[in-house]
Amino acid sequence: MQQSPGAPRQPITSSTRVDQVGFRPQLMRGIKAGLAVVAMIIMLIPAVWMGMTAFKSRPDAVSVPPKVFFEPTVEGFVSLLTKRRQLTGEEIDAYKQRIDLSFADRLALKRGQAIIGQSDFPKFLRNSLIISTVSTFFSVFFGVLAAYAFSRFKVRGENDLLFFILSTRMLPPVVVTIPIFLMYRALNLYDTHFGLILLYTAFNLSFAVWLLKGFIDEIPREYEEAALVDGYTRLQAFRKIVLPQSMTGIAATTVFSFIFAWNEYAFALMLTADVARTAPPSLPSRIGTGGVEWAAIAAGSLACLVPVILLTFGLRQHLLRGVTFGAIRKG
Amino acid sequence: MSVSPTPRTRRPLSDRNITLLFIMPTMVILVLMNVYPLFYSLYLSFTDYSVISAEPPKWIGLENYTTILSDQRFWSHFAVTGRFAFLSVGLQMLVGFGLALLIREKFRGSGLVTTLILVPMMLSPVVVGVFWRLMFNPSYGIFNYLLGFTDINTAPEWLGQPVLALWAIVIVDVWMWSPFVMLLSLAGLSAIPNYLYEAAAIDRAGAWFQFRRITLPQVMPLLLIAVLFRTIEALKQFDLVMGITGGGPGDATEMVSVRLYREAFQGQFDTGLSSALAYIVLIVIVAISNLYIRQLNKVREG
Amino acid sequence: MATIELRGVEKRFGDQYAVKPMDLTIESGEFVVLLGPSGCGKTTTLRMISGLEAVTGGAITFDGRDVTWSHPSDRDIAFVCQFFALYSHLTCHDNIAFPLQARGESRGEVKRQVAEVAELLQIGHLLNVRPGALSGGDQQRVALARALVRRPAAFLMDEPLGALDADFRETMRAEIKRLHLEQKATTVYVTHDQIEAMAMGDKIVVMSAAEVQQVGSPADVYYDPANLFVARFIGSPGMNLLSGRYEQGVFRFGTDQSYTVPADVKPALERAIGQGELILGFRPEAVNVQPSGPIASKVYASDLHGGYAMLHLDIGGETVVHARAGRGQRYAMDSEVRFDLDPEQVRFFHPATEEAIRKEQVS
Repeated sequence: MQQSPGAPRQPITSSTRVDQVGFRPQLMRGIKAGLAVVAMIIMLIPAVWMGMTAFKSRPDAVSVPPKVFFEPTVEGFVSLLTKRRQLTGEEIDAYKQRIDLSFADRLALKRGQAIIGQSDFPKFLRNSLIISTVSTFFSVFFGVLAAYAFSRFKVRGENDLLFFILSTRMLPPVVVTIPIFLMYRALNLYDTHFGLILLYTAFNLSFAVWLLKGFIDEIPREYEEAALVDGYTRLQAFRKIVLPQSMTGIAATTVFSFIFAWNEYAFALMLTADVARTAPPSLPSRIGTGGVEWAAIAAGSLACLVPVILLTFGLRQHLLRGVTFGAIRKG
Repeated sequence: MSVSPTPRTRRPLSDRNITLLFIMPTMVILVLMNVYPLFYSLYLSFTDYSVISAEPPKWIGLENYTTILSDQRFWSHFAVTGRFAFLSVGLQMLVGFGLALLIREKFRGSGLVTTLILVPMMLSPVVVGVFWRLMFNPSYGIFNYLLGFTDINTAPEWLGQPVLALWAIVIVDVWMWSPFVMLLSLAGLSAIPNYLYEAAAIDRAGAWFQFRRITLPQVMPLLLIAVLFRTIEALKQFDLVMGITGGGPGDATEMVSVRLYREAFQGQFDTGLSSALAYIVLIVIVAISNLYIRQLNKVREG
Repeated sequence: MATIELRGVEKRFGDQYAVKPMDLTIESGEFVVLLGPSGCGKTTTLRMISGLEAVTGGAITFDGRDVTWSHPSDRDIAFVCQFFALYSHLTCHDNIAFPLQARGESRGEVKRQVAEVAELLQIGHLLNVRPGALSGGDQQRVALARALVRRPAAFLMDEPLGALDADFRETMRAEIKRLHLEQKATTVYVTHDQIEAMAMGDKIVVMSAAEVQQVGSPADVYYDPANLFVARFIGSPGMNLLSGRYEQGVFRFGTDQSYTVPADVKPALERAIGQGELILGFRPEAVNVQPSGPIASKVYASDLHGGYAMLHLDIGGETVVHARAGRGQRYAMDSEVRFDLDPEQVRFFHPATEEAIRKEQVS
């Protein structure tokens, strides 16, 4: 058969418009994809650089010009997790003779330091974990109940209540912290785990209600109605039908709430001091003390960010819903 | 479901009671942790009080408000915040929407690229901010090198000069939150029915026309949501400033939230004055939140 | 107006055909309907003609000009789809004016032409409204106006009435038909609704499973289906089909029943199958109920349809056939009914190839 004029050399294998066939449209698509990849690389540079800095030695971390190739070391992690003392020249020589030095001790010795104890960072990280986990549990638990009620029953003033719930989330943290600080001081909740858990529960609850309501709205009522007809009570129907059906939503809400609590800074800064302090506010204060140990800070930052990066991948189907409080679902 | 109904031993809860039971805990927590503090701080804003002093709050009427509104310094904090919000939200819209246009057509690996671009948005602002402080360092920071300033004598000192310091925060905010705008834009773009573009192709409408007459109006509602949400967040900006500049140099990047923190929890611990300042911020944010929620409802129903 | 020709046009995804290679000629001014169940390739065919879908093989010509790889806007066509595709932020006037403006016509000219089509479609009063405020029918009128205003060489319509309410559909069908007759425009119209196809088409292209099954006038496809698919698909209910054996001029089926095959098809039958398996088909209106008829059956059910009655007749407990009868008489359930068939309307099909076996034309 004779070729039609303008026929493409490459065979067409997909559904495409005639004017999008051929070299030029294909080139355009390639350029766009290339630019997108470049954008992705630019977006990732800070995170990658952080990962690299965490494994640099102290001088490498602040070398001029910045080092892209370096000898990896866990020195940063050692300084993050320990308290150290600067040694005098003689002490260093004495230390060098000792044979009972651990791997970490020897790394510290390289900078003329001796490890004298554990730093507070593990404690801060543990606080972060406890407070985020417990507060997430409570906000999702109460959130799913309220979301179910709003989704299935006629609630008087429903829209106003939902509006109120969402608007609490829009408040700047600093605005509510002053009275809460006074309240906590009076109730001895300042610098306690419980205090921060309570606050984070409230903070995430509004989010959880909105997001979960969106998910529960999507479960057809017919399932429950059939169960009610079969003789289940409302509560049984909720437990045996709605809860299992909304598992995806609950999981997504849990992860989001956890990330928000894990990342939170302002409340933790103002309502904790030492006992219940979480990891994020501990990092800026590290800069103030003596020479800035960037490798240690990078290591601490990495510890804060890696869990979130991993969780983000688990959430990728739900990111849009999450960041818009469940109001927008498509995509 | 293979589970058989359990025999009823007691009267089941009525729907009304279930509603009450289910909503109550949420309402109690929110009233306790949000409504009560709001009224409390409204009261405090009319008093002269410091949390570190033994004296009880003393009613002084509107004095705190007049002090703030007549003090040039507070106005400059508002101005810095406003400038930051304008620059940051504007750039985020451009970059985010631009990214969405690039990534809109699927290509091999586009799913992964999208997710990776979205990562910064999920990170802790203060942690990220602290690390950016290293990257902005004029001698050993990588930022200047990436921009091509390899001579440390002439390289810009990002955190040392007032104007550049604000830009530094803007840059990090744009880096973190353009992905958010991209995500919303992608949702809007994917909802545009293809037949509109097909009709345009048959009518021989140019690329610019298609963009202006089809793409833009269709994505507009979501772009507006992005603008409102980002504006609210920008006006609340606290974490990044604390992480990157701590308000400096001087008070060049001291946005309202940071000032508020300093008034309330540092120096004089002026609780009354800071409560008044908090209320002024609150009123601005509530007004914008209102628009935001209305827009959300419109998109949800439309 | 243009003559559209498809030669060996196909759409393939890997080994999977969306449309198998097809040839079709659409004469200038003709109203051609592509009809078939969903997924049969009719919409893809239309989209290939418009250029909204690139072919994977074959060629498309408009008046002899090869347009296979031309931009959709260079084909001088108008496309009307189910979703109207109106720009929601433009008024109806601007929507209709859109293709003219894209072409760069002067303002006065645009205004004049829009007014002209608006009058033709009686939507003059809607011109300043945005399409979102209009009913489905009015939106489709505006979409039609936008198609008409460019005076294209061909109209391509993809289920344009699909999104409308039933009563609107009736009205719009008449309007489109009338417009076609007034404009004498070549039109290709896709639908899955056979009533729409029968009512509107000069020529119907029946498609199924990515393949053209039959091309013909509405009467052709109804009375002379090319194969079993068309026989079943066209008509409501479809053609009655009886399986049996052909032996010496007689069709034997069921329990010892027989029907004498009209003499003029015998040679064709014998050439096609010799003696053996055969399928006999007839439309419900070919049935003549008469006590002396050759075929025996039992009334399975009967229902009244306004002007006539539809009998469902059980033949030997194997097959139920549908027959049209006058409404005068009542038929009790399970009562015996004998009937004959109008020999002019009896059709035969090859059981293996499923193709129709037609009587040979006397030349």
